[in-house]
Amino acid sequence: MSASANVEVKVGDCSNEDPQKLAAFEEHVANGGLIEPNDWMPEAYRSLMLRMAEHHANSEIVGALPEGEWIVKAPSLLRKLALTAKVQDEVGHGQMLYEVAQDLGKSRNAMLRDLITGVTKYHNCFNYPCPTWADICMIAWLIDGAAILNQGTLAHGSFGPYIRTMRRINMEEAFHFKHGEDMVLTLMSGTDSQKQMAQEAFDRWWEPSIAFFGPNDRPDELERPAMRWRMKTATNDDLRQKFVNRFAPAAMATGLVINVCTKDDQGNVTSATPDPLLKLDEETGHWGFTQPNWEEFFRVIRGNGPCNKDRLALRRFSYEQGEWVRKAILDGTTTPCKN
Amino acid sequence: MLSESRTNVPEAKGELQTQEVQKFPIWEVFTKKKESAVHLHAGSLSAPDSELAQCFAREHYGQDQPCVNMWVTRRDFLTADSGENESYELFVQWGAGLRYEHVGEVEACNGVEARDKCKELFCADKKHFTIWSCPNSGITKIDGSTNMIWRETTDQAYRLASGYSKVVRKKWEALRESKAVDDYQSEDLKDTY
Amino acid sequence: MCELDQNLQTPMVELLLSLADDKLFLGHRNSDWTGIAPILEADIAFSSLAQDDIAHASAFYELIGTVNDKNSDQIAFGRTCNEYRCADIVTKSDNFNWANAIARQLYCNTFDYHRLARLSKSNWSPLSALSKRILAEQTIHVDHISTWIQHLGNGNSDSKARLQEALNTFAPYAVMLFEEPEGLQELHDASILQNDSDFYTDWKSTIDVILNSAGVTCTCELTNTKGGRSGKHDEDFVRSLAELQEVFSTDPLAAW
Repeated sequence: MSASANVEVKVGDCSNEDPQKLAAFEEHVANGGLIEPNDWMPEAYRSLMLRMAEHHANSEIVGALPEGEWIVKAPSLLRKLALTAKVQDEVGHGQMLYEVAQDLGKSRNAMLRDLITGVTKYHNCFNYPCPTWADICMIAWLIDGAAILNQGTLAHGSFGPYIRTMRRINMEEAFHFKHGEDMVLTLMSGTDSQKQMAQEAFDRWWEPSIAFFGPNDRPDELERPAMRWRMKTATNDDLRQKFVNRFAPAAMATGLVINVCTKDDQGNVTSATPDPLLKLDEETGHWGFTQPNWEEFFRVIRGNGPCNKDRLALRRFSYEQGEWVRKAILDGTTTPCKN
Repeated sequence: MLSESRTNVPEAKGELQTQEVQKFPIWEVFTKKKESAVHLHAGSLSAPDSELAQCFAREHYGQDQPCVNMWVTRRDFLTADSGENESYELFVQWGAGLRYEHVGEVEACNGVEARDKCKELFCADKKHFTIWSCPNSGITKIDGSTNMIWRETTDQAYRLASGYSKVVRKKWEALRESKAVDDYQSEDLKDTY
Repeated sequence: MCELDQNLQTPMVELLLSLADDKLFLGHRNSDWTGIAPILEADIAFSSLAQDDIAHASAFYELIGTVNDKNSDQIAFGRTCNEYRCADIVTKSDNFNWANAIARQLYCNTFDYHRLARLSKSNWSPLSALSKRILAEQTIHVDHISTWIQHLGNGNSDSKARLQEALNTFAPYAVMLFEEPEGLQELHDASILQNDSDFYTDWKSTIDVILNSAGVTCTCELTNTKGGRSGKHDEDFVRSLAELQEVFSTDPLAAW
């Protein structure tokens, strides 16, 4: 699971750039041209791309934590292998994305340190709890399903190293998603208590899944730098609608009910009622749905979600516990250019 | 135990107590997926030296798909102008956004000459974007047939999407009509599978 | 020879369980590092090795299933504590300390290398064939862990001290890997396996070579203590088993 869709874009100022170079750059990108690290690019493009890759990388390695907890509890040999491989892939995605970001001018160490001291953010959906095995199943199906949709469009972006990484990531996410489907279908074809467990987890994850694509589009969405420079190639609301169109009927076919839920501060569902807007518009082909609770979404982004503290504490603890190892293997390299 | 530490971590706030560790060198990894294929750039990684770079490369870039051969080299070798008189492996990126592809090998006395020869011999009239050259003394070559990379001996289907296609299809068909499953799965095929 | 004599089936299952349970729980503990190891690259690599171990365990449970007609998941997840046959080093807590994880891995990986090499020569072809295949992957593990031992031992004085301490802590548990599975003598008598007195010395000289290149040592001595192979497990194993079975045991007959 991963994402970078909800990076807030505040930069984009190019007033200091050479107007001719800038015009040529924008024309190149607008015509579908791609940018490699050694090409000329406006500073604003570089810093925005760096932030996007860094946020994405942060999301991957924080996303590895909630699922990582369940590796030791996976209920069969196949599930244990697959979940370990999935979490491993996420660490691998993080590693590759940190390399992309690093080439844009910030060291991996600086990025890891900014993450664990709260200077930079990661994707919001990892601030929610995973109390049961069924949560792991829902994350793999819904969140990875959402990530594939999002990253599929990011793979058509303008920055070469990032889109190459997206293609590779999507190949691995395809496994996560298929395995997620298999797990959800297994529960929904299982015993009554398995079905109940699945429904309860679905109630916890449906809202974070549709909020996954980030806040509603602004009126000037297409003019904003991330879209103008083709870092993003689809808007949040378009992706969200596409997601609902695909997953709402599929979820219902398995017997899951799409509810609108209220939750307490710990992320526990306190009430669930069927979504009154859930209906297929025959004309547009779009499914109606109730928007996520955006007020709560922004509250969690600001650090007040059920698991923000735990996630950062574990990342930080891991970083500190590993410090001596990184130091040791560097000290052991007697000649820096040893090959 | 680790799993217990995961859920009982002391909360830490404020500045970190330690200094940043110096950056590790960056290594580029090229993989060959089957005997008839060429080496393609797989990605990069950070490691303090060649031995660990190899260990890390094998277990990351060697495990996503079957891999019969792998080359690992320091990134700065690929763009270096200087060098010794020896053979150089050549990699061409044919266009922005594409992966570097191994095109061949030349004898040259330094990186500049190797890349010039590459243009002449392998790019001739073809448009290309950038070229990497690497002295053979700077590449670690791992041959999967004598030094296993991809695990051939145990079933790896658990970590591939294709490993679940049949069983998932069967489970869907128990719940939905084939047509609905087709529509739903058509999305799968579009971009990513 | 594919058919196993009726009276050899119990000793063979004991032998295979000791191997498969070692692999399962070593993989169980190591997979727990996924996402929180000291370096992202090392995290990915260590997880690959953990997956190998679980996959190896799975292959051996399948082989057991051909003897006692049980399903792999039922064997792996469905027993009570005293029915597991692993040596407790595999579940001994590493306390979020990479040096402990590396020391445990060295002892277990080198032991498995020698064990699989011996089982590859078995007269019972299903066992020798599978062991031979797995041995190829085990070689990667030994190479990988040797690299780590050398880097920690030759890193700096701090890392060397930490590694030495971890090696000392785990050494008494390492020798318990050599506790013989019940009925091993019967397999020897039937020439299914060769009686092999050099097992321990071969293992010791392998780790000594590796440790020597890293400037660290292992002092240990074989004992006759009864432990994991006889179903007697310590507190750390009990905790690992509880995790392993937590979800499975809510409905052992359900498909998950």
